[in-house]
Amino acid sequence: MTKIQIPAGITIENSEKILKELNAQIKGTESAELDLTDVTLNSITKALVRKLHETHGEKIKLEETLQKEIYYQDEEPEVDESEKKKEPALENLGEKLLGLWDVIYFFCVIMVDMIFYSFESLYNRKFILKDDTTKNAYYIGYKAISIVFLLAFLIGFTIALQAAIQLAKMGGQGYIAMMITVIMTTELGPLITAIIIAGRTGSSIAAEIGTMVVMEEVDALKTMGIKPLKFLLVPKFWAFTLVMPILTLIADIAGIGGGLIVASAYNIPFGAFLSQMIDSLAFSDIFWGTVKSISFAWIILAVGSFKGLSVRGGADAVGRATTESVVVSIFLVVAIDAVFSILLYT
Amino acid sequence: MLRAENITAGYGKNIILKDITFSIDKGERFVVLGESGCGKSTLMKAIIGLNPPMEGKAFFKGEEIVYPMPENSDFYKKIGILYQSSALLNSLTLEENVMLPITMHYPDFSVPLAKDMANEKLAMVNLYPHRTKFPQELSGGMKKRGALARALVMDPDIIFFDEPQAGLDPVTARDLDQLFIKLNEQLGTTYFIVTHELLSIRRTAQKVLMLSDKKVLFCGTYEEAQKSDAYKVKRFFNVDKYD
Repeated sequence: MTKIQIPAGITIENSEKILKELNAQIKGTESAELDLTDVTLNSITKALVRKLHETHGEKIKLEETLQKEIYYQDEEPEVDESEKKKEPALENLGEKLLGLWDVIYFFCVIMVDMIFYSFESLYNRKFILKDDTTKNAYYIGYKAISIVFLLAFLIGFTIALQAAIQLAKMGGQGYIAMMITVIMTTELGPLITAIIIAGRTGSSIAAEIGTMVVMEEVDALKTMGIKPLKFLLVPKFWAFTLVMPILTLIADIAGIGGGLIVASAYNIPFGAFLSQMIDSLAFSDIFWGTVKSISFAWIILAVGSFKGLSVRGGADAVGRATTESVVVSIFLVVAIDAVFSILLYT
Repeated sequence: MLRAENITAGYGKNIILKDITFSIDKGERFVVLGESGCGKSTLMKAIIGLNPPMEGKAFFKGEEIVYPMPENSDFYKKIGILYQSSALLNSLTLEENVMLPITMHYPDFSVPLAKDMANEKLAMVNLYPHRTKFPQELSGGMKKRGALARALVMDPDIIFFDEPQAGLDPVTARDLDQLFIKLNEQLGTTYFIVTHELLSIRRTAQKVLMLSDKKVLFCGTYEEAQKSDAYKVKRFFNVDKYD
């Protein structure tokens, strides 16, 4: 039996070279005993010895005490086959549908509870912190004014510019004011605001509530006898309901402002723009724009809360909930906007 | 004070605990112990209704606890809970956190009085000078003491502790244990402590319930547990002597 000395100082970098050398040495013998006296049994050395054993099998001999240290239990525990019940495809589908139903049901419960507790809070302030609505309105509304204004202005400007180029071909650039006013008040104002708020505030609501779930704060609220939905959502609900129409109005004004810049570039006098804008402003458009903005606000809040409350696990789950809340909110906002358009304008 | 009869608890279809029975007397420091994953926290969550029992009954001061617990249950006014993560609300100062149970349950109650009650409890746990700080400005041990003040503020009959020593250094953990014992002796509040910290068990336990393999392995006084012949109990208390 040939004694093969395993060299000291095996690292991940030099292991492949050493393995090749050892393989070559063992190949030339009938049986070999591995000498590990000078070696530190770190994980790469142990893996290397196991690899040698796997390659050369019984040809390699190793002291019994070392064997225990080097080899680990790598057998899967036996599972009783009868316990491995195969789920038929139909049952699988049924389970998935039931899961989806649970999600929809839970979302509806949150939506209904949120609206119920919010109106109940008008005469029953229990579980509502003083000044919480104001704080939320400040964060959701005041802090978002600049971004809503800037984006709506740029979108209004871009749309007016593109439209003006096409209208000018037919000599119709005089209609810019009418077009941008109608488009901003009926569609883009509420939509742009809702998309910005879904990304900015909806995600932060999902992250805030999700973190509270992970940190057991929601459990703590429950066991203090506090209704978490009422405590967490009602101040946000009223803050949203109050600030969304205002933000939408700001978006409308900013978008029309963008159109005004384009109109002035096309030599349309300010007075003419203003009178055309006033002529095209319809009370019903502003009213339905406000209704839409409020319904978008409720959807964004409900989705953010739903995603936050559904968090299970740790920080990664909070991250996922945040992303999903933005995606789902924007999808629902656009879908509801389409429904409003069908109902109002067809 | 608290009695559980044949409690079976778990999550979904997964049964974690089966037929758990025990009783706790008034003023007693009752410690639930066992290896990680044996269902200690599950038992606590089942009793307080966060994850209601699948089977069995629990009685608090002689009255049966109804599961699922209604949101406005009076049970929650009579208990305090100290969570593993402290669970203080980050948007509120320490003082506001401690006042929270009073202001939420009694919205018409005088705010200065509620503040005074909160500050007295904060002084009890040596946090009065930090009352205006937010939880994120406090150390782990301070957060635990703040959460203890919140658990104490409504003068509960029983406090549930979920791994109170988790994440604390040995000195802070010892100080916290000494504080628990002092307050228990001073106020006579019953303690239900979930832990697997041997040192903490030695310091605080009067009665222990040991869980293993979904069942009660041992239930008795701390001294009886020390003398128990059951292998797993002996191994738990003398872990260095066993492989």
